[in-house]
Amino acid sequence: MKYRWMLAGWLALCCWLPAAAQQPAARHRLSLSLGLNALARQDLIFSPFVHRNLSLSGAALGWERERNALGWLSLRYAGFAPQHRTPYSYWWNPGQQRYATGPHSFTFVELEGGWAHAWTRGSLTLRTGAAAGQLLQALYYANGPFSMFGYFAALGAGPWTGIEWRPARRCVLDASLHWPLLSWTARSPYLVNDDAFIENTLSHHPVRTVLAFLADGALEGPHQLQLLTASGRLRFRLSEAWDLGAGCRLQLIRHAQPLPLRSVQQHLHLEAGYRFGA
Amino acid sequence: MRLYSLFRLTGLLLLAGLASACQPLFEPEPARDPEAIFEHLWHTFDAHYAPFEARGIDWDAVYAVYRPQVTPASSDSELYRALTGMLGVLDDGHVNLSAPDRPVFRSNFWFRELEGDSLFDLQTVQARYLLPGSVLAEDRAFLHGMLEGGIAYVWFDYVGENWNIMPELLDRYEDAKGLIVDLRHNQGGDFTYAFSNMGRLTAEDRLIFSSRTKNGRGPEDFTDWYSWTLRQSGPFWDKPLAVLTDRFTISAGERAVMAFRALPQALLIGDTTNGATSTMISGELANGWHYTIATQEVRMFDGKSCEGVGIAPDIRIQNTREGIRQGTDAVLERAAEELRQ
Repeated sequence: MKYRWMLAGWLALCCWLPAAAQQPAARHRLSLSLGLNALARQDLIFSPFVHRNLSLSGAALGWERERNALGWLSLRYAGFAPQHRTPYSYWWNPGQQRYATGPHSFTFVELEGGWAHAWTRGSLTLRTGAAAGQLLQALYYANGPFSMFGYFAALGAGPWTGIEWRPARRCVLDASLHWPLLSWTARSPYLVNDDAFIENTLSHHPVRTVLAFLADGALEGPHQLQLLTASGRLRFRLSEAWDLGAGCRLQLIRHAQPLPLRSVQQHLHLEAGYRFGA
Repeated sequence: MRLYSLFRLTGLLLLAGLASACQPLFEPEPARDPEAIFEHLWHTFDAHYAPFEARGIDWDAVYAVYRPQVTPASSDSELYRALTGMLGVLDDGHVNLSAPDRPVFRSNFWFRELEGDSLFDLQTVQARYLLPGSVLAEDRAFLHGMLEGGIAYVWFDYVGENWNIMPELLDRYEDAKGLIVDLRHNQGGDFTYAFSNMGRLTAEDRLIFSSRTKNGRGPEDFTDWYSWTLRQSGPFWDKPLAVLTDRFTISAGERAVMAFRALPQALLIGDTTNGATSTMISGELANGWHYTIATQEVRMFDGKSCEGVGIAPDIRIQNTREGIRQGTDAVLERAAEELRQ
């Protein structure tokens, strides 16, 4: 029961941070970005190999609220289908149907909320604040005729810093960096399918199972989990309301227990934004 | 001044991030040559295969036999022969090897040779023994119906969501004299579905088995023992049970058999189960082949392991090829006879 409260509290924090930026006459911006995702991931719980994949199935929805302070909430999705070697066909018994091997399937969902105060000098603005994020990775490893399921989740909070430069009236270039200092981290066990894992699936209900997996996590500091997210964007104002831009995002994950996990994820995207408010 | 401090803080954070990233990002991957692949698979089993002791395997001796068969010049076929020879020694229903354009290699004798595979025929059960009105699931996940003499019958192809029908069946066949649960050729799956749907078949909570999982590379690196209990729930279905098993009843199917074994009103009839009671996980090799490995030790409620041995029936009886050809199922007939008494 306690982990439900924990998760509810975390969601509340994610939403409260951007709300903290609420000020009279604030401007809002809604954005949608779509683009290319690249992943290189090595998770020794599942495989000693680095799984790489380029994928177009990535999207993000964002909401920003800005005056002197900036608040934001974003929801990201990325899907990957890496395959270690070329597919092949196999069959179970002589004369039976042939099957083909398929790729693994990784689904990443990330919710992030943050708040940052701004200092402006000329065309340069520096922002510092804090962000809280929830990263959920569902991992389906299709090892030929066999498969297994795993997960990685990190609910973290830490400093966020960003810089914005306006070289021209209609043009904005920004970059940001976020590194959770404290994270509630949950990962598949050492050999994926132990009794604790099976017990967590006892409800046979997807949401309860995810909550049970999360509950098995632990609070970790930056010496245990390094999760660094850097991003940059270039946006052009098309009108008072609309802007269009392009950006890139880099996320690095290093985690050690129960076995090393290394992940590099890059996202190149096009972004459309709609501004409203005062 | 404040702006300068903030820039400095940002710089420190960036430096800390760079320091963390100084080590090489990825661990070295296993090499792709035949010797390295053999070594990788042998060492993976050495570190993570759990039932060596239960199966009486000297893994170092297996290495001594099969390692010399692999050289840097070994062809794919030669490597495949050495790897399957090595894994075949385990004779484990949870150990398999899959390679391009070949049948999946089964380490276990029964599944590899399919000895006795044809001694169970679901069509015979439905056509000859079940009264009109029997139900075969569209995906062939279960079959249930009534036999003559007021005996209810259910067969499960595997252990999963198909077991969710069990409570409904107990209501539907409330007036039956007994229930035959046919687990012959049960492929396994997720045993928790069996346990969560058997609550009405026990009058009290019962310890079914304990298990522990490898959690390190050393021979004694295991998690603590974990006890799995069948929880009583709902009104007790107080009728005799006959559970049918054969050599192809495996894994979660065997864990379901363990649960029935713990029930005083249940009789096990047929042949010994496969004897693969662990869970399994899968992995990939540098050349793209795939394997599975058993990672748990299991003890039944009486403290005994049936890994590699199987769960013996109370009444041992097997069908014959001749009987199956003639459309009879001696195992089912014997079970019905026992329940009618």
